[in-house]
Amino acid sequence: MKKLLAVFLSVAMVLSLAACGGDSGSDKKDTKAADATQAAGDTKAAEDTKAANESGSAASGDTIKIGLMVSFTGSGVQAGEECQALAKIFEDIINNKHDGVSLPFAADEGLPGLGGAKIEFVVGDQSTADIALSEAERLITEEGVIGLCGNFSSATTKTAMVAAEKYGVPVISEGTSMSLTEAAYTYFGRSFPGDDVFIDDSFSYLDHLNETQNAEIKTICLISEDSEFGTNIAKVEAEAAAAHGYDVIENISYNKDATNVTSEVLRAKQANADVVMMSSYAADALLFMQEFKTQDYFPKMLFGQRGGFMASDFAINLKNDADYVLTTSRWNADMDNAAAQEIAKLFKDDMGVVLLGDALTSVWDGVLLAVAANQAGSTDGDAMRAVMAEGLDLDPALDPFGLEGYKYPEKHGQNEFGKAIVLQYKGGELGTVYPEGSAELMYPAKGWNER
Amino acid sequence: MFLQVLYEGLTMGTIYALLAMGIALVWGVMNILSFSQGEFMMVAMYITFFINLATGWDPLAAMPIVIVVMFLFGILIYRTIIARALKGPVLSQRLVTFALGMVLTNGMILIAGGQTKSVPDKLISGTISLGSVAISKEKMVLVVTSIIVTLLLFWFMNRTKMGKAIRATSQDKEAAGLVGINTQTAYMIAFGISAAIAGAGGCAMTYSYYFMPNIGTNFMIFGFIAVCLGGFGSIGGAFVGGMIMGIIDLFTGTYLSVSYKYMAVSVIFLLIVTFKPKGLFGR
Repeated sequence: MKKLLAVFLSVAMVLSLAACGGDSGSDKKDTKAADATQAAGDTKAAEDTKAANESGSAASGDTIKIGLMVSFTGSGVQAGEECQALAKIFEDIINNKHDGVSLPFAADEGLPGLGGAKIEFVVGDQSTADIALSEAERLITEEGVIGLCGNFSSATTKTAMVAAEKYGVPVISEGTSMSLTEAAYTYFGRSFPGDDVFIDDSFSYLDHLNETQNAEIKTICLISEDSEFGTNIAKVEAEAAAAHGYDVIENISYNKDATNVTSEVLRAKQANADVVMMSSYAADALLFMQEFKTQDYFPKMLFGQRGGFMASDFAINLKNDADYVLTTSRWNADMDNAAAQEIAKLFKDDMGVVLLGDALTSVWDGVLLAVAANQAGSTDGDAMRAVMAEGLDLDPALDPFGLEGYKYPEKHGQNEFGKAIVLQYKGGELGTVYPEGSAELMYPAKGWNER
Repeated sequence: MFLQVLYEGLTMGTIYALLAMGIALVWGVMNILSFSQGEFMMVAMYITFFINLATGWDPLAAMPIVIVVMFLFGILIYRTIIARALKGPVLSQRLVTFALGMVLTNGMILIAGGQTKSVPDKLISGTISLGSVAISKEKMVLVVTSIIVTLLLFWFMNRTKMGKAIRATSQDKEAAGLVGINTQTAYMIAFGISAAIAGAGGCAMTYSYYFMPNIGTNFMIFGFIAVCLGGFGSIGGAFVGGMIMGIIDLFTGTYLSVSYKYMAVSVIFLLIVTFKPKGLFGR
């Protein structure tokens, strides 16, 4: 009996370790990826792969692969699962004819510019920066992906870019650090704003509230996790606050893996700023919300910078306790266009949860890579990048984001038409409060006991 | 403010203490570093969650079941993995619980997914205002649980035959065997109790924490530091070590800088290890 149990537990151990890799074949692939990484040091190998990519267009009936980088471990697992589900939906829309659906390639079967080639999202792990590098290499050298997209952070984008630049494969990532656009990568693109625009828009919104609603916002408390994501945002926020004439009276940096944030919340409570601006991941954002409630503290305005405040875990767990929280975003399900409503419905029907902007953006970038390949008539990285620089030919009526266009200059890769919106939770759901129209801002926030 | 910080520090200390007592018990009896103690706590949180999901029971009502299930789970782990590892090289003995922790974390991702979970509509909620101090009732559940677990553990170890057998085994395994104590049973029960402590702690923590499969990992390092502070093998020392850590954490973070709180804990740890290498109550 004991031996049987021991065997059972050993099998469980192997299976659960395999779960780290996300799929049954990942261990094997990881080993291969490690080998590939080593081999990639060989310039010739890199050139061979690049040459293979340059060989060009997909023949009629081929399937082209797009790398979708998500987290298999840590706090990004849920977002990763949502991205994979959404990728399946887009695969179906692109590969099969869907009359009356207002999304790219729905009217055709496959990509018409590539002879009807189908697309397939191939998943890679980007749980850490190191893993993102080896997985990007694996996707490029072994899976033959034509480009990379996904739920990237700035840090994982940087390491994935090492492989992308080496093999000449375009990456569209929403890592928001300005260092990405300043790095002058050849194959990098970002469809939506970086930290600078998101944060400047946040303070412009505060200016707008002061001018139009006499909001009397003067003081700011910054709370940021201490990895590259939060550190960059805190720096830009401090500069933007000074530029817009706000007084930063407390600036708290904390570890995202913290087991408690009580002292952080006590400090914020003591500072009692008009607005608390936070940059957090999902788990720590929830920990803060729990502690805010425990300490019976909620500022007049709590303003998150995407990240955890846009994660579905945040809304699902907090429900109405999320009310009054604002966050910047790129998209929301209440946007008034047919493409947005259709993809939101398809996702809700499939996953049972509301589609959030970060998941949509991560996969939409992959659709944009398909648009680029279709427009270039080739899967060659340089041809796709050239098309991205010229501007993608995408009917705005088929764009869930409703942007004026997608044009990624070679100098920095930042889409010239990317823009930010401001959302607020009400009744546990996000509504767009800026640009004004969809939902009305609730300000100042009520205390916990007054709700 | 001072009293508020003190209360919060003690509350945080009780979590570290619950973790540390389980680690101290296993180390004291069988010289194994229980790297999986945080993951045991995580498993207890999920058992509580699933009981709540299936029956609607409050974590407090589910606590006895969770404790028993975790005790049995600990026994199972001991008999199938730990007992065998104890016959192997020292390195295997040291690292077996580390591997176990990874298995439990990733196994839970397979079973329950990576989403953050919480137990809704708890029986006890809200805040009691005592002058300038706001006492969270949810956190009070943790404090009371920790105190009860500590008292029960002391009673068991000092007043029951099995407790005395465990203590005798921890002091001298061969001598204990010579006087008729079944040392393997003592080991097994000690490991089971360690898992049961994690069960009580994890169950109480669902009152104050959102949780996901990797939550145990974040707590573990603090549990070990608390054990080092109090002294390896000393259950009382582990409790005091946890309390010291909680208080230093909160006072430094609130009155100096949040950035210094982990450094302050580490500095105190280094000082104690320097001047009392076996910890405050170590043998």
